[in-house]
Amino acid sequence: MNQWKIFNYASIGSWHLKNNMVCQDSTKVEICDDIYVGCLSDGAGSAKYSKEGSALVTNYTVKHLRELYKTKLFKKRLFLHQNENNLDIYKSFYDLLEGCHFKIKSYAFRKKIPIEQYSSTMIGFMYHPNWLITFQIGDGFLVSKDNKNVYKLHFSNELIKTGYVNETNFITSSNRKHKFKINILNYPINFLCCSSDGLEKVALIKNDLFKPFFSSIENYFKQENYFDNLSNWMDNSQSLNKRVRDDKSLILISRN
Amino acid sequence: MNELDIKFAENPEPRCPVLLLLDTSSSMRGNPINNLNEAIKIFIAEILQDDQASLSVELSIYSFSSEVNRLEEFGSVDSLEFKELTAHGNTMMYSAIDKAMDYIEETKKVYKANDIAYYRPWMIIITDGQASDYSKEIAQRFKEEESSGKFVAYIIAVGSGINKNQLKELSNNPPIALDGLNFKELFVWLSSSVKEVSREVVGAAIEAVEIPFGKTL
Repeated sequence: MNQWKIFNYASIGSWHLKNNMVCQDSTKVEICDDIYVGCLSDGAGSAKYSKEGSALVTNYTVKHLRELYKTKLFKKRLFLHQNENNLDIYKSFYDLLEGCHFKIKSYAFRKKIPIEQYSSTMIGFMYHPNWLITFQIGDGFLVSKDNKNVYKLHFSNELIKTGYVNETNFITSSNRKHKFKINILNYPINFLCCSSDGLEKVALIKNDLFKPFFSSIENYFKQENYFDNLSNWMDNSQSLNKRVRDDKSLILISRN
Repeated sequence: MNELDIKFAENPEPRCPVLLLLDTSSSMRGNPINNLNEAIKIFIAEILQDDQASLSVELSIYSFSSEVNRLEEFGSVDSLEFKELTAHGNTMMYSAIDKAMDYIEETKKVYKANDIAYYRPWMIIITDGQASDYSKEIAQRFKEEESSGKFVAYIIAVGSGINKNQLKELSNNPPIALDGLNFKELFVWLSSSVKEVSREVVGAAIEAVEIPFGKTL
């Protein structure tokens, strides 16, 4: 996987700093044989233990995806064909959703704390050289770029949010199965951007991706000192942090 | 640090609609209406002092007495020229609530049509007496719409002439009896709360934030 490049960083928002709160976002990305598996989770600001919740989500999800990739469902499956019946794949991701929910529910039960106090979103991917599977519940966004340099927003903002800008769905929500979305791309992509909702305000416009944001981010990502530049930008950019007070988490993966 | 040249989308600020439904019946004459007027001016000043809130908060004001009047349409606080309220007549509170609910839904459609994001609207009802146009249907509609999340509502009761049962029937959140005529404390709390909302970091705020003063009815 030497041709791949990865950036994975979470930056605490000024609102959280002001209120002596920790960053409530969690991210996890791992290599599993020839694919990347990853998950990003944003803890609800109003939930007391949402940082623990988001960490539970990312840890469980990545572990589950690694194990899933080793099953018959994916073994030797170099391609995911459009006309194949991928119901078995969809089912496996609903199993992931329910398994993750159960994990949080059990943890909350042991702690004698209502599950809602662990409310978190979930956004993740399995990124193979020839295909991409993405999934999401709650806000945040996933954008990929194919070999024809076409960017794609995987789940429209309208589908994700409840209708109000500061409210969303969570993995702990009773309507999670209805709100959970899965997408399968059966062609190679060369760039993936996964972000919590902190960057929505500057990266999306009218429920769609704002292409100049993604092309400019990708340009910096291609440079040698990309990690320092981008992490510093997330932490210290005045123009960014004037617009965005929330935590910001960003995962970038590219194929050079 | 040298800023990176990363291009940002320019989105309109999400709107935080706040609708005040104010009793201007004859029993509010004198100190009650004077105190209310001063408190609203303080609220407006507090919002204007906050850069983020003054971009986000949109205020609408309804008065109800023998008739219901929409004194201010939803709009930015900095373009608002507040005209002091005067008190006279009856208390057509239910008609006001009915019109206010329609107006909130109408406003949401305008926001959606213009791709403007918005927070859950707030409705603040202030009354000092028994409504003269009680309607079970409107009370039921109000309760259902509040439960389904169409808005967050606070009912504030002032004085000794209120009908507690009427007010309790109306909302899922217990109405609050204000201490004396302490509208100032109420509106300072309100301005502080909407400023927090306008910072966009409030989580799944389905339940109303609790008012930290007064007594629940």
